[in-house]
Amino acid sequence: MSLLEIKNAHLKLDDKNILNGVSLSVNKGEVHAIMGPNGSGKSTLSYMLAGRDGYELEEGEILLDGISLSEMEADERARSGLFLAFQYPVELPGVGGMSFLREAVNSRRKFLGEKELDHLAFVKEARKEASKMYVKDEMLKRAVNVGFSGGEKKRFEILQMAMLKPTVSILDETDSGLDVDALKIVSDGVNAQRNNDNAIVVITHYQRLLDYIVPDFVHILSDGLIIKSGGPELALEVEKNGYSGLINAA
Amino acid sequence: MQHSIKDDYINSIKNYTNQFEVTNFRRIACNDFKNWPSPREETWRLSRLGSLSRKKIKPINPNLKKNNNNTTNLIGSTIIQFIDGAYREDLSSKLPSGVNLSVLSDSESLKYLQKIKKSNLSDHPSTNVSLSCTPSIMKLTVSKDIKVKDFLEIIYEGGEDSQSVHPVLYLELEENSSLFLIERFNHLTSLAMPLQLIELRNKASLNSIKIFNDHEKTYNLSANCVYLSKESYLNSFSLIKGGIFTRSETHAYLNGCNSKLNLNGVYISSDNQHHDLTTAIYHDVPDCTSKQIVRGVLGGKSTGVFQGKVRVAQDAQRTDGQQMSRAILLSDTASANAKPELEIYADDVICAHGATVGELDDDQLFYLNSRGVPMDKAREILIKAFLEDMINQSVDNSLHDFVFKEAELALSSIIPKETL
Amino acid sequence: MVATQETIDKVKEVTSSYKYGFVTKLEAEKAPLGLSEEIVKFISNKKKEPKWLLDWRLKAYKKWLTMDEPNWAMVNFPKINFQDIYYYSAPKTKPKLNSLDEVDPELLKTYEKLGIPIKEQEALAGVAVDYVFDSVSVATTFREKLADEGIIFCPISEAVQNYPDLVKKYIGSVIPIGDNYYAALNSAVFTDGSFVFVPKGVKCPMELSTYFRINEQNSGQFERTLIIVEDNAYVSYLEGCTAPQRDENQLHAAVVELVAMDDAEIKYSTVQNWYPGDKDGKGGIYNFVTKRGNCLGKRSKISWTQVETGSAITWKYPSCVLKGDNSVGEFYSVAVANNAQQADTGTKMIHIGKNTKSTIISKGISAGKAQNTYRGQVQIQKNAMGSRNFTQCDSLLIGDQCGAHTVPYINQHTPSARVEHEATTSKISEDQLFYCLQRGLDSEQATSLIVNGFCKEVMKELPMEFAVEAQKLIGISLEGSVG
Repeated sequence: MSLLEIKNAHLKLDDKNILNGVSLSVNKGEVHAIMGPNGSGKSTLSYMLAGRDGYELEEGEILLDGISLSEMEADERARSGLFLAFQYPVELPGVGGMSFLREAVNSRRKFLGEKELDHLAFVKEARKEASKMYVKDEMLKRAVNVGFSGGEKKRFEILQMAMLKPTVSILDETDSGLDVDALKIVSDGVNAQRNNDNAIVVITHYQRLLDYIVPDFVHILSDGLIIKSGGPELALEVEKNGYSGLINAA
Repeated sequence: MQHSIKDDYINSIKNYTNQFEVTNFRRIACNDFKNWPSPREETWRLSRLGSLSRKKIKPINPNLKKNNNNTTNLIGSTIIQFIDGAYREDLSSKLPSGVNLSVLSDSESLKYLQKIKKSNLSDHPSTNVSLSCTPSIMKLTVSKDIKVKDFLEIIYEGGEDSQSVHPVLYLELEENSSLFLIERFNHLTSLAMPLQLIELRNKASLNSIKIFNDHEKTYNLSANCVYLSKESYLNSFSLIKGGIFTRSETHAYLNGCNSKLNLNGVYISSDNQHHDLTTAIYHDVPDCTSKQIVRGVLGGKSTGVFQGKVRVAQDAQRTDGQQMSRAILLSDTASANAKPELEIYADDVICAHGATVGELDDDQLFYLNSRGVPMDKAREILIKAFLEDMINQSVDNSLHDFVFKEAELALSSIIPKETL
Repeated sequence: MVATQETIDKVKEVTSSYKYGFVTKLEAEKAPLGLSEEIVKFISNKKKEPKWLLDWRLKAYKKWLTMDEPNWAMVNFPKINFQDIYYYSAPKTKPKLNSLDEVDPELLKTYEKLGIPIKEQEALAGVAVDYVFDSVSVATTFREKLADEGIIFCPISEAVQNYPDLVKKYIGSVIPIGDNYYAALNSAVFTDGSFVFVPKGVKCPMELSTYFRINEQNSGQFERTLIIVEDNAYVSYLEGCTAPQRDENQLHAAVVELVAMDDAEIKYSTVQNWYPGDKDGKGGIYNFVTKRGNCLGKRSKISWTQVETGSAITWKYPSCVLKGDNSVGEFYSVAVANNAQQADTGTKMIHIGKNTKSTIISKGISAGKAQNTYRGQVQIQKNAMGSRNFTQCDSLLIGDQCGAHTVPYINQHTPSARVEHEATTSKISEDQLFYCLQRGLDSEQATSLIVNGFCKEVMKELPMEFAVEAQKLIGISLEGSVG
């Protein structure tokens, strides 16, 4: 059974068709990349999966590990193991990074029937993971994403992913706003979390991220439809010929 | 009880209005004028009328032969002249096509009164006294789709010592019309009580400049009620510099979606002047914007007041209301008061206000000094910059110079000159 | 603070017989309903007060008769019948409950969420006597320790007897009897409250809290507190309790006066969580409080921090009169109003001395059908050269049925002084909520987290022991306001 199953997803925003029947099946241990030009529906897809208000499906179904997500609120989906790394992580003034992480991790643990981590155990764990992402202690004391640079924000997203141990992670344009060094750190962080029990969906406009996070499958999204699927070589084709060639051929 | 001077004034108005039917708008208005506002009333706490109520005054009987003062620096090519509160066709220009000026009939005047009475100006002294005593309510209309190119200039003059004048205007911009209006208050009277009702119909656009420059002994209690319909736009700027006591009070009702309001003002006060800019902006429907910038410069023993209320009703979602007031005190004996007020009942809004009162920035002064600019010159530069920057934001390009010159004239008496 | 059996026994030994008699005696000692000169005399007589204090009370009473209730605040409530209140029933005994089983389960749920130990829960809800005994012993040791430093911390009724000169000199010196309607009422009929005196050069070694004071229990209605801190001395005073207290008094009209001498510092923190009434606004406390600090001395500092989440109606403006040159006033406030609550709260900073400084940080949160108003005055008087004020007022709206209002008054009479005021109003951003939800937090957790973040600048001013509970409290107060 696949870990994430999107079946014929249709979605409208302000009476405009954005997703027109997307279907995708992601199995354990796989990394999928969804590529597409601006306005193809990439971010909508990620919000739809995460269950943002206003992004409800008109038609179709999504299953996470065999369980339908459509009746679940965003927080239930998250606790069930769906993680979204935001393209633009949101600032939370006054909310300390460490306490935010702890609330999130304990919510997930509670859901999984695990014991909540006590303060010390949590801080130890957080520091360990943080150091892997080059996130300094000082950054964890600051308010979430407030005054963070683009790179810091993305590193903090991947740190959260590492702490929450999701079954399916959606990375929405995680490469945007990153220089090469930061891109490497973030990608290493993501790659370290690849295993045979989880899956990752990378949403990106550019191929360059896929040099670092090498996908097993690449899908091209255009006008709310997956018009072509293939292996990593498909990304290179996009890099070489642009989207227009593929779209016209479809 | 002894007959007080205040009662004299009320009685003289009563005597005048008694000649009309009880249903006449003058009688109704007169009945509502019970007294001068007391300092116990919240909006009059900072601007007290005690000394005015002790003055012996009576409403003027307009002299229709009196000539104008030949104001020199006219801006508009079209002049509308009021003397002693009365419209003077003989001294006014011919109006451009699509613009019409007429006298309201008694029944129309009653409707006018009812409209004002629905607003929060219903108890304002100028509402009741001016409606009782005005020579007539003048209605200025811009017809549908007419975009008036020339500036229209209204000049208010006249009045006498110990008398009050009562120009009452009704300005209606019909659908999709636009007008550029300059109003200048140059009364030579004890008390001026201009009253205005402004209605902007859908998509109408009004640029308004008001310059309060009455005689140094004049009290001016200007009251303005504005209704904005769908997609209409009012860009209003007031410069208060004259009179012993000038208070401009404006209540603006944003009643149509996507209407837009700028309500800006500057006051420049010296000697014993008291200047008050009181505004209330009511967001009653969604998607409207209001912006307000107010600046004051105070010298001598003057007092400045800015009271600005922004109220956002429960239905007025997506309101954007911004307000910023700043005052600079240039003398030890001047004082400034600010009461920016937010009253918000809708949740999806962006509303903010800021207010500062202080002196000129030390760092900026020092910076100029260090470049060899003497202190008094440096002060002058900074004060002018403080106003110019704001005038540039609020006033149409073609009138920057005119407005700024008007401001400069007032500044000259208060910028402290250090002995060289 | 679980009392050892030994302490309990010991205290029982000392107090049980007295306590028993005390209770029976009380029954007979209730003043008749309503307020009159006789009642004022009755109260003063009961407390064996000196004549000057009785005269002072009578003067306040006469003044009160001539005054009107203030009507400028944005709060609505039915007119209070001041003749329908008992002005002397203290120390009133709450109906004794035998165990927590008899306590309102809603109240217990809140205690549990706040993580309040059972012993304390019992005391708060009016069960059990153990805790009270415990507290007696704590309070006693506590007071001895303070006395070693020369600090006086006792009920004001005791101070009237033992330190009459100090009380006479300072009571009403900050808030004159005719200051306002409720202050006049309090001056006439106050029953008890705290008295603190910290002598020159002494830094009070611990946070003083009414929490430890058993005699405080029933004096809440017309409480009067007076804190005097001499040159170079320091005290931090905590008032109130984070758990909602069972209380039958509808009207609370307290007065708090603070006096700080040269280089003295007073930090006064309040967490107010009186019963707010039910969802429809039935019941709940009217909290009409006058609090003012006098920075008399040079370089003195008074800092008010308040977290107001309770009461049906709050009318409260803890203020600073900055008389001493270079003195400093601070006001940090969080006011949460949910359901049908109405809060009109803020501060006054009156700058009189040179180079005085004040900071106002106010965070208002409105939810449900609540109305929440910040009202503040900053006045810079003629001679307050070089003074500074900074005010930041932020309002957060949760839901579209509530209101958030900001009414600042700025009066500036000195060119070299500077007043800055900023205010914003907004709602909780959907982006922020979604971000938190996506991390697995439910909407109440998310709201509580975001709101606490919004209040952070104020919360960090609270003493540690208060801050954690206050944080939870904000979350609890907003329950049911989202989703």
